[in-house]
Amino acid sequence: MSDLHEEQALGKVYDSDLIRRLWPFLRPYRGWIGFTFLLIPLRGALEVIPPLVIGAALNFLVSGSVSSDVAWVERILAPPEDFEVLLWLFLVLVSVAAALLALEFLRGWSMVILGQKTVRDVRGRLFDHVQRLPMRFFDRYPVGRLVTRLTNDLENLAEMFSMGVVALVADLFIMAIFAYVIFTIDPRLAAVAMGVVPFLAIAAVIFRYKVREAFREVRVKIARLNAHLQETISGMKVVQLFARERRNLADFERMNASHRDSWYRSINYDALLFSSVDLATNLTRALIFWYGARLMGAEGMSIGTVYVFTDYMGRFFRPLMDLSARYSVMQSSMASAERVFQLFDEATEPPDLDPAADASADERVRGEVVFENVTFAYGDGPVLNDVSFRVAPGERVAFVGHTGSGKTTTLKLLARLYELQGGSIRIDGLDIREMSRQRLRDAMAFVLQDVFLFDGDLRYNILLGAAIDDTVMEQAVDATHVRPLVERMPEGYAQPVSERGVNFSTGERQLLSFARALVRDPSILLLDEATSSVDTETEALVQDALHHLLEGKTSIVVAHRLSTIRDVDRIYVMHRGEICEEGNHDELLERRGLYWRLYQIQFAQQEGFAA
Amino acid sequence: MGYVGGAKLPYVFGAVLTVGYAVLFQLIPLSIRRIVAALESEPGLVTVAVRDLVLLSAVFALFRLGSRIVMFRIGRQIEFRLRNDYFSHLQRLPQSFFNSHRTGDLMSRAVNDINGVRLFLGMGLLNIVQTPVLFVGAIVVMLGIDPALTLWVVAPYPAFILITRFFGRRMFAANMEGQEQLGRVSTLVQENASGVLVVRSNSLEDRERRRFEDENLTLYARMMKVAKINITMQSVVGLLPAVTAGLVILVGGRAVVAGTLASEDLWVFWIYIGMLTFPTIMLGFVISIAQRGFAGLVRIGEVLDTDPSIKDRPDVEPMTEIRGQIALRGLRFSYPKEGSEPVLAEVDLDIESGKTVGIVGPVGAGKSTLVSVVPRLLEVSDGQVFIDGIDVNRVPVGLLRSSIAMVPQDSFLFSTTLADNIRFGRPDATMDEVRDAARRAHVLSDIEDFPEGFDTQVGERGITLSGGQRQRVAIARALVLDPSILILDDALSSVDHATEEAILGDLDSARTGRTCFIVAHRISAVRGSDQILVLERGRVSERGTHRQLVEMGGFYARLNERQKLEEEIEEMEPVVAAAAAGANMADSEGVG
Repeated sequence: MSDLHEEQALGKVYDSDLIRRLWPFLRPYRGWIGFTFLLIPLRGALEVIPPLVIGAALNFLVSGSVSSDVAWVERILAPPEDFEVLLWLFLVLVSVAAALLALEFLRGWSMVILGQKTVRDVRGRLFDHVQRLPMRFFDRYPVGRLVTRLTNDLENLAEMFSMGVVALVADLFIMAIFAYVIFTIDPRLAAVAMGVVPFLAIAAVIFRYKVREAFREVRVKIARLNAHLQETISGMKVVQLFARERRNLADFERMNASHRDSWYRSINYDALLFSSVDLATNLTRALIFWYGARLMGAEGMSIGTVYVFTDYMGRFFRPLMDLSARYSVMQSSMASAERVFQLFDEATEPPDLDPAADASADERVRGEVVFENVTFAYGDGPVLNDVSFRVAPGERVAFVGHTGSGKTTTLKLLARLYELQGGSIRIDGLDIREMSRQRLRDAMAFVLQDVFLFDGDLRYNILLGAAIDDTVMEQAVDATHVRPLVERMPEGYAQPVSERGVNFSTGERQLLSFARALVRDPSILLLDEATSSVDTETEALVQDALHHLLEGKTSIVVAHRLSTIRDVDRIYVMHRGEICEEGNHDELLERRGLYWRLYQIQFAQQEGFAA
Repeated sequence: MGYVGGAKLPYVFGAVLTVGYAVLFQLIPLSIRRIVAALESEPGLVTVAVRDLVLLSAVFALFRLGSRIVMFRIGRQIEFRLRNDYFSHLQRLPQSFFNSHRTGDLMSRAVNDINGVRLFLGMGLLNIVQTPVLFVGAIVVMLGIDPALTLWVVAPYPAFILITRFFGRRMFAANMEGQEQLGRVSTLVQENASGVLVVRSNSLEDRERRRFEDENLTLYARMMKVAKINITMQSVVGLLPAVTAGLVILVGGRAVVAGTLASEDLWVFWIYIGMLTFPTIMLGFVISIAQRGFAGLVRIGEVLDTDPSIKDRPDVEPMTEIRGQIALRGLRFSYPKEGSEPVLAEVDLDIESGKTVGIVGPVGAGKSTLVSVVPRLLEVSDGQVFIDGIDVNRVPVGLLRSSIAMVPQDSFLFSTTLADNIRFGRPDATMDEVRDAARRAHVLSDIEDFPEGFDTQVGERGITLSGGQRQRVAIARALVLDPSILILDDALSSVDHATEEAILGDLDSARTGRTCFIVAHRISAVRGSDQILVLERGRVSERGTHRQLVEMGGFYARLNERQKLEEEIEEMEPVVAAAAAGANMADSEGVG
């Protein structure tokens, strides 16, 4: 909503390319589309009747006989024997109206079904698509924009069905039918009655063009206005600190006024259309009376026929009133559709291998990890450069190094969250690109620095969808000291939690992330240790939980804790994307190299309470 | 609603046009009756009567044009003022409000809710004013022709109004549910995208798909309900003109047969029915959007009714200048969340005007909170924070904010030019002053390296600055104010050592006479302070000068040791690393 460029791209009301892309989603419901289109001629036939009924009533009152200008309608209008003519005409009129109501209802209903089902499907598919997009996509696409695509843009698309296309086609069809009927009744009077139509058509074309310009201007301005608002909200601290409120408000008022003034222009055109339709309706009536008077005098045209002409022409002009509303709905729907399909155009990751086809799928992963000449970059500069190492099943290794040296990236690559630029990673001798991602990630647990809480209950946030029975979960909860946390919650495991408004301490969050990993019973554990410090008591719990967590698994840890690096079999020291030292703690200290210095900085001060 | 006030003239004008329109509206059926009567009895009069209809139609169209323009403009004007008020009120709300309301939510109120109000005002105002006038006029005219027939024709309308009200209520409830569910879908997508790393590494995609599928189905069901109510209402309303036109045939026709009514009188009724149908349908539509409009108004009202706590109190002290002497007395602060420990407890501090205080401590110790209470970004109760001996809550907010410049942690810059960002707090600053501030923040040469210099656009549609550049621009922005109190909240974290030293040297309070707070993680940033506080878990654990704290051998001394080694490593790193890797390190730039 804040993107000016996107808003400027808008304009097309009909785009065959978008319709073509929308078609696969419409296809399952093409029956509804067909049904709606079938209703149109039926509705057209019924819409012809009401003016003729009133015309016939007039003829009856003036001449005493029920006559109509359209033969098949006259048959309907002739009452059964001994039936009061006026009552019969009343009944016909109300029945036709009831039938039209039913048709209108069916049309609306089927359009609603078509629209809502289609949008539901598109939304589902779009979310599915997003699940398959590579991590790189999320590094650059703002979350807010993604939310807009899946909500507001799709709601706009639904509007197109309820207000747009089909109603437009039906309106045009019915206008054509009215024109046809009056021409068959009397071509000369019809020609006179249609006299104003070309002028109105020209006015409508000019209006369409003008309103399009005005709408575009409005959209650009509202986008600017909202961007300014959004930025002010995000930077409110700075705004208030720098006492910028007054000037900011002045800027905002100026933009707001300019937005309002664009609307004023659009209102002018809209009002012009409405009043010209009014004028056209009344002028057409006048023309019909003026020429009808001659025909009545010279050829004995009935008053009923004159009425029928005025009534049809009144109905002929009415759809023109909706034009501007339909136009703007179509315009914003198409723009939204375009943005939605742009998101569909984002390349997904290659489809996952079928876990069943995976040769070793049934075997439990032993956990041998080999990196061979791995090279990787997020953008321009390499983050990992020719990294090789091997971890035997059940071994524990730690990665240490400065921020940005590539430690966490190593873990992410092993989980195949990003694709390598060079080299290969193998697990149990099998290239991870030849394993299904599902199997790969099931075999490992990735413990991130901070636990991300999903909207759901505590149980969901521990299990994260793992199919595990309660005893296993309870064991994990005990082993990771999450038990007191569960007991503190009024509703226990059923306690709803979410990322916002949660009041877990840093230590509790760490323990929770351990519990998450433990329930998965992984062969390989990837742990990005939290750097944040916790109090001594919690630290002891974290250490103990960590001990349980690492037991019997191949563990790769980005270490920030002295106890962790002391316990591991081997330490890799990373520097600028390369492994520059390796060995166990004592060996590395003896070398008095980079590790020794890092140790002095990062770990020496923990000695006091960690030892 | 206070928004209908303001200039009276448009309202009067709008009312005149609307009433004029309603009167002319009545003349059209009568004019047609005259034509029809002439058609049947005196063909010679037809031409004159038709000419009158043409003239009448032209005037009628003009009134319609005018009333639409004026009434719709009033709607836009109200929207304009509502949005201004929303914006201006937001700017007066305290930080605690923005901590508890997400930007997305506040934006949704500004976009969706104001839109709902706007839709209602645009269509609604005109219809609500106009339709009753049209109906009353029409009923008066029809009563003059045939009271009995009029009653028959008018009778269905109340029923239809009841029907639209019935559907309107349902629509409102359904709409609220739909919007609520849309909100849940937004949250789910937001969560899914923010937690994508967890989702992917735990293979939660299928689970997420199912969760989304559930929410999506609920959304579908709710939206479907809204649409179905809408369709039902629209189709039922369409029955109205047919029933009334039929009643004219039946009741009116019988009267014509009985000889009590002329057939041309029937035309008046039919023409009225044709002309009243559209306003009636619109009224139904307006009722359905009115609900949305009111709901929007309620949500905007929630924000507008939030008390802007940070404003001048009645007992405000009439000060004109702040010298910069600061005292904290037993400062205690906790966020309004149950059971949470206080962020700050028992903090005492005295700073003479023109002195510098450094604050260090672990993450989450309360350092940012401590400096946020000074410019009243966060509210504390009376008797805890004093500036020049006056309780901060009694210092005029305007003076407080113009005398204190704070460089917050996140160094937020606005999407405008660098020059405008730097003179953000003082838009009247000259280019020389801007340049001077940039020079003192050591960002001048960076800016001059950009092709467009100070006119370079920052942000989404401009260039992306590095973290260090952003921080330095934020410092320049503070310096332009020439404040009596300067607060750097970890504002040098992404700036390299040498630049940090240079900037701090320039800021030296001994020369500028400015009171300074420096929150930092690096000892080097606070070493020169007159007084250094170590905050741990919200309490002052150590206090003194650099020398005193180093001798004390506590947290500060350990931090100092560690950072000395770190500095050493920064100098030696490439050599050690190269030796260790046994390779020739090609890139050894950017050190020191």
